[in-house]
Amino acid sequence: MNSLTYIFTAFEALLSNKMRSALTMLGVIIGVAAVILLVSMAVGAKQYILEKFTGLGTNLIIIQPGKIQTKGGNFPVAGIASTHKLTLSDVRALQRESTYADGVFPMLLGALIVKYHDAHADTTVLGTNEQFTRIINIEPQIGGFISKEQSDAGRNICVLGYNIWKVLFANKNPLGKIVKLGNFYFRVIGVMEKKGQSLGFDMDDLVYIPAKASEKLFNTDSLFGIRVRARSKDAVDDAVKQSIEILKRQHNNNEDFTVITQDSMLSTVDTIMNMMTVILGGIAAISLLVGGIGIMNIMLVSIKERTREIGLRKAVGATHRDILIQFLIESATLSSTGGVIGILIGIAGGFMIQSMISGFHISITLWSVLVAFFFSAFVGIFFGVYPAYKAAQLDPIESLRYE
Amino acid sequence: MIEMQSVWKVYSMDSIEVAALRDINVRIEKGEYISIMGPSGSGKSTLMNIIGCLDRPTRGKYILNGKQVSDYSDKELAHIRNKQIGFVFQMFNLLPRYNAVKNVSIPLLYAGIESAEMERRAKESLINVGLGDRMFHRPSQLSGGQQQRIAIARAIVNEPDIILADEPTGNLDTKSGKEIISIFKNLNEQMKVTIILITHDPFIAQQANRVIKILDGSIVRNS
Repeated sequence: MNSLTYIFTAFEALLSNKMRSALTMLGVIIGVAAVILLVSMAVGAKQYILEKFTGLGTNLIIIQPGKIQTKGGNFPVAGIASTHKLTLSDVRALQRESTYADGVFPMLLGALIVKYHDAHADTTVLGTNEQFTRIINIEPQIGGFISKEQSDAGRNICVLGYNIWKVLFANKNPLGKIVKLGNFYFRVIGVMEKKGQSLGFDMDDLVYIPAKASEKLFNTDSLFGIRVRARSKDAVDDAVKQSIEILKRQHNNNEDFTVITQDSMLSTVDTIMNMMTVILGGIAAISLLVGGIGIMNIMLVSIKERTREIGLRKAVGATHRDILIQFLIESATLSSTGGVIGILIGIAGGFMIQSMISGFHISITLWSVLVAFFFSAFVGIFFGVYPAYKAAQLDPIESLRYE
Repeated sequence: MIEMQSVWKVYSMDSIEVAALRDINVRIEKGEYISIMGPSGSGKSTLMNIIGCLDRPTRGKYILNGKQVSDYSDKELAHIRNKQIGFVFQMFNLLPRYNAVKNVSIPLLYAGIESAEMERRAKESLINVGLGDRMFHRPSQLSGGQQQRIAIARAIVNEPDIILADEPTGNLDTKSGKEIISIFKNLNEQMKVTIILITHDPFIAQQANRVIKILDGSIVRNS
């Protein structure tokens, strides 16, 4: 018996009981569709998050006050004051001494209401310096950004985010106008282009002022954080080491700050999302397993019903192997046909979800399709082995007498 | 040619041994037409299973066409059943989802014959039993006599030396039964196929060249 004949024989047997075959396949269809759908959604979500991060540029080094990760050896010793905060003098030290960095900017944040005549808007004020635009890749659309001179002097000038400009000035030219931030007055020198989400903020809702001016505005010298850009991707590690050295010197040899790179954040996100993908895929695979048990159940029933057929086939010359292969192919056909239908339904479902949630792209990966297909075929063979083995073991004499 | 030398078949059930066949010595030449008669439980089905290579004797030798098949493996026996023996059963044992041609083709599937040749031979075989006009009917669309003729076509499709028929007329009316018997007679006379027929019916048994009577596992008449 050649392999094609085996497959034809299997199809004939399955088609002779269409309803049963369809219901048995349904278990596998649901399992495979779930694997495809969940995995492609998880991979899509991962790409979505990674895109948001890499949008900042991978050379970016993030420095935050406080020690998040303890590597030992920095336990505060009594008598040595620990400042536990980052200040503009740290920023100056980095600018002055760092050779691997080509840009440093501070971030001093506060929430305020910005007013212009009767118009007002809730905003987040970001105190920073002239290097901000170059590092974040954002340009003013009208006027200019904070200059080095304005930054160093801490002048009361501001640059409006795109949305703030629209609310306060209704698209009119704001240059030279005076807005009120808290109890201080600031002169508008520019409006930023539309940027959207970056750095964890909606950039269009910000008002940018010199960091020194924000110290006065918020009456604090404690920065939200510092961002450093390494000269190149290869310089990131050196820039991190150097930044730590410089800041430790600034902080009485205390490492009371945390330095994070894009890469380490990306790899963390990557790890978490990969784990989520595996977990979701695993949960879906359980339903595939249940489908496999359904196949085994039906194959056992089918073999009971077809005992006389098996007896007859053996009487006219079928060997153990012939019967084993015949039933294995039947179960593998059930599961892999279910697998193909499941893949199609999973892909269709994925696109449906994509069309319902804007901005979200599912990602149907070839590997998830292949894994789902081969896993379903494997499930069919695995759960088909026992019934097929039982069928092959049947005694032809007994089977022919079976009522 | 079939030859049995001191064949025993013993079943042990809970340490009690029951002999279904006791010291059977029989010789059947190629082209003979034989009837085996005996009451239920006499051992005639066991004898038939051994002749048909579905079972092996506990003791003794079974020589089929010069080869001692009593020590053959399951796989070798399956091969012999496929090539040298055709079975006809009381219950027909046709597959309901297959039409006549496909039912007749089943032995050819396991003989490794390619599909066009398979169909040609199955059709030829059906014409030989007078079912040339019923080739694509399913068993449920045919009468008992026609179904048994499909079974005979299936038995002869691989051109076996021996046809073993177990009560082939047991489920048929007298007229269909007679037709079936005449087909066997034809096969025996024209194609020189050895026919071994198990029956309760003395009238059918008498049609054979020789009648073997079996009782309590032993041959009591062989003439």
